[in-house]
Amino acid sequence: MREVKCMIIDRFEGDIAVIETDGGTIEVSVSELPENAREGDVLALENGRYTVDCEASEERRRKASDRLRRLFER
Amino acid sequence: MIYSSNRDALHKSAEETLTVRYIDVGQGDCICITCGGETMLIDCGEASEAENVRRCLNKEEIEAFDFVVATHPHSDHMGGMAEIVKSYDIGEFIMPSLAERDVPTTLYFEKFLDAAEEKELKVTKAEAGRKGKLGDARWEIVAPVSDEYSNTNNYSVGIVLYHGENSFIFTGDAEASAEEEMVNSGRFGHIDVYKAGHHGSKTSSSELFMDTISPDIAVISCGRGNSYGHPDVEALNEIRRYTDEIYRTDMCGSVEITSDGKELEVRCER
Repeated sequence: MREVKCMIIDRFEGDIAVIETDGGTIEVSVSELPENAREGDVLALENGRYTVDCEASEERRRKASDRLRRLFER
Repeated sequence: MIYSSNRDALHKSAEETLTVRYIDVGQGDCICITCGGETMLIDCGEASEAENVRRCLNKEEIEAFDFVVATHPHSDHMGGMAEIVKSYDIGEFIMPSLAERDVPTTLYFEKFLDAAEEKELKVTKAEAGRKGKLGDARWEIVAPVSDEYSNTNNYSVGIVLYHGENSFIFTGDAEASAEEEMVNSGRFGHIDVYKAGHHGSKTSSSELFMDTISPDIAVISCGRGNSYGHPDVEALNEIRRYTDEIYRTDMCGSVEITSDGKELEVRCER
């Protein structure tokens, strides 16, 4: 059984990761996340285990960065 | 105390009343500054606080902002910014320039980008050393000092506000290393009112920073029973080396400080 929700790391507050989901914000212990997880990473929850969706993370990062750059250049 | 020449240059007499409102948005920051009919908003809290913020701003009959500053892109500081952009006319929107790897991918930030594009918002990069006016108050951007950081908190826009003999500082969530950069850039000395960095976290209010600003009043914007232990006892102890006049939004609700250029008056919601 594979369960995937939209979950994005907003920030870290000490040992707590603050994660934005389409249903609101959740807080998860950093120890539950992959070691390389960082702000802006898109997470997937598979069989109760968090993984980083590298492709989705980079795609969202690139798109947001392009849009922000255009705002500054306007 | 040695004051920088910049501070002396910014000192002017004040005829208008300056009001700084630290709006209680739970765990987050939202500061509304008015002087002589001009307005500045620094951060807006979480998206879930948007209606609360709108109610507070309506009560003060604020319909537009000359400046909106997003200190840094974390949801507790700019989660509700899409609503602010949609609901108010904004003269200039100021935020830090971010390295591509640090640009947020979050849904609230995407909504902010949507709103900014829709409104053709004028967005400018925060540059340390830039000065501006708000009524007869003067402000100066004092951070970020560097172009890139390894920690998003350290991109926080820092602003010092001067009104007659009174001064205020807002540093977002800037941590000790960014505080050190600000101090080393020599743009400010003593500050009367300190909005505690990072909600009173131990990452901020470093000894060097507190020795430099030696504040008379501190305001901590934090949520009651927050999960992060804000404010932290270490930061509180650093602040208490200079003042016991500490106002916390989790205890006082919104905090309003008015300046006539000489005296400061503090009013708490509860």
